[in-house]
Amino acid sequence: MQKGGFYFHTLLFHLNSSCRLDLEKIIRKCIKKNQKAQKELYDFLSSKLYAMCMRYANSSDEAQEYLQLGVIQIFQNLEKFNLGNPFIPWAKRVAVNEIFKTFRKKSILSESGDIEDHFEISGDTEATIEGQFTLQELKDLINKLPEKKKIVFNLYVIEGYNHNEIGELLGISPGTSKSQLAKAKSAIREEIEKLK
Amino acid sequence: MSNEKDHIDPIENLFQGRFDDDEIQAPDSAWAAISSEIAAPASQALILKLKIGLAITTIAAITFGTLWLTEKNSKSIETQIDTIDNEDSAIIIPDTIIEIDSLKTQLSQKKSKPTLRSKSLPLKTSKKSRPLDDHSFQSNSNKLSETSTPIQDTLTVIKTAITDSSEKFIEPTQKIEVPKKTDPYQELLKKGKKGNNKDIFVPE
Repeated sequence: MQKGGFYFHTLLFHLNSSCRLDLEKIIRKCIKKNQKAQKELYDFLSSKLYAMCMRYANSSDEAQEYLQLGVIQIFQNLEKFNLGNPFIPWAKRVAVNEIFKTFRKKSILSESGDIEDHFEISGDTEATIEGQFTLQELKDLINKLPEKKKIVFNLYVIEGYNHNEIGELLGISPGTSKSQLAKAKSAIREEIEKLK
Repeated sequence: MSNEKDHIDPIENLFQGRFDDDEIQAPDSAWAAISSEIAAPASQALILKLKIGLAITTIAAITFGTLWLTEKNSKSIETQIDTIDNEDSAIIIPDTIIEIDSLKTQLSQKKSKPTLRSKSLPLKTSKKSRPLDDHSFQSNSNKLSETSTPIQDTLTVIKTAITDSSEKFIEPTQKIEVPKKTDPYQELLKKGKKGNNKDIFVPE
């Protein structure tokens, strides 16, 4: 059993290495404006990025707009990418930054949240949540949140941004980001309780 | 960031890691818009390269065409010259041929009969001795037709005329009067008769 597991991990390592080398080759070709490589990289990225865009968008058209903006920005900044780092997180960050530029232009984030800086999270935050949820059910829970809370929750919980980064990205203070996150969690908890 | 997330909230725990493999097939129309946007600079560079290539090709074509036309024209002229030389030269330079023909005619005429100067010279020289007869003139003319140049003709005619005239020389018809020699004695006698010089003895 241990021997089989060793072989499996070795095979996985080689597969990851070869995929990584292939991805590096594709990226290098994309930097040289090779259209075939650009299409390959797009095919590799598009479904992941589109799923991310759907979390911030209110419709598929809006998500497609965010996808296009994000991918264009990724291709235009490929030279800045360090080939030693993981590519997907970098690409998602570039795309998210571009999406939030659009948000700022559309004044989606103009809603002031300063009054909620001192919002105290109420309720039982430590209570365990029982039951299994599908991915779609979790998405539905997020999509029921108000716009700004949804964005902060997505950035903090799903994308892994901290409050300082979220503050810079959205043009709000870290405290506002914290309060928005607490409100989002509370709203989701309420929804889960309703499902029970 | 790590400090913020040391304490994992059950809600966060419910969501974290669940979206890592979240993928949704993007619409096909998305790539069309993206490719046109990211391919634009490359296309512009390609268009620029094509423009430069086209300009170079045009210049090369014009140069080659000009050279080719020049070469073709020169060959055409050479061919025409060759054709004219081989076949049709009379058409191109008829005046020259006519002129050459007239010169040939004149030359043959000159050869056939003596020139005016060659005729007159023997007559002038013969005045001192006697006029040339028809026989000598005819012979001179025949000789003249065989010579090549007018000067030689003339000299030959003169020589012949002199020779003929010397051979056929006859006594001149006019007499040359030679003055008589005077006797000094007789002269003295004449003077004595006419003058008063009595001192001079004159024998009877």
